Amino acid sequence: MIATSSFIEKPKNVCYDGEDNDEEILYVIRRSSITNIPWILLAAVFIVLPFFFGPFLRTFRLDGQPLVSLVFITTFTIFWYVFTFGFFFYNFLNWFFNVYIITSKKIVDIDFVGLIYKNISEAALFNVEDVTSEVKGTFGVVFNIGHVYIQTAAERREFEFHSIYNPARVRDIISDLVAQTKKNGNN
Amino acid sequence: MEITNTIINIFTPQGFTGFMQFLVVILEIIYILFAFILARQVKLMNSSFKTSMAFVFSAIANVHFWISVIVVMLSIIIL
Repeated sequence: MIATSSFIEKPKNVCYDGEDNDEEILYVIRRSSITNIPWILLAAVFIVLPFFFGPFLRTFRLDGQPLVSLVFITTFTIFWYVFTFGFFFYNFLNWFFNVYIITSKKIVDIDFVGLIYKNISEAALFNVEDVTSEVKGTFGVVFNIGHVYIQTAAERREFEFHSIYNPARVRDIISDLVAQTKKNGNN
Repeated sequence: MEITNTIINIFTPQGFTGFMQFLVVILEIIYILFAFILARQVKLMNSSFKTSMAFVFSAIANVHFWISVIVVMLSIIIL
């Protein structure tokens, strides 16, 4: 599975801040790739926009002279494409680094919101009490995208995995891991 | 009087272009701040969740920042 997939089983060369030495990362899950379509389409519009906006600006004239010079339009277009690339890169990073990690010991939720907010939450598998998956709406049903809610006995009562592909499978994986962990703990 | 003349000049082709150029340079300087914060955030992200693509992301973020700086400098020189 490629590193940019939204569901990676036994990922290679991956670790997170706070990982234990005896811990193995089993799954790395992200929001479904389909949820990226809106900003990708917007970036595509941004790419095409200068081809229409530039000539349109040149039609504005005052005393027979163009109101906006060609040098200005060229310079602004260069800046526009740098901005478009920054927009694309920012949204991609937002998707790539907001991950849900299931390890042999814990569930980890890494959140980056905007550029100035970072949150990492962990819950031991042993503390997981209930796992629920949900698919709702036409979009969710058609593309099999939904949420997984994990109830824990820890300080943070509930973990939420939002807009993931095949939430039923993820729910099943977590439930099996929790059952196995509790069984090993009891033994 | 000078301020009045400046405001009146905005409504000439040269004055309007100059005003727009000034606005664009301001926008580009603000964008440099965004590019800088983005580069720092990539570093933080890579330290929180390490992957084999960490170097690629850092390189792209840094190149993006320096290109933003070059674009601003070119704008100031050309415009």
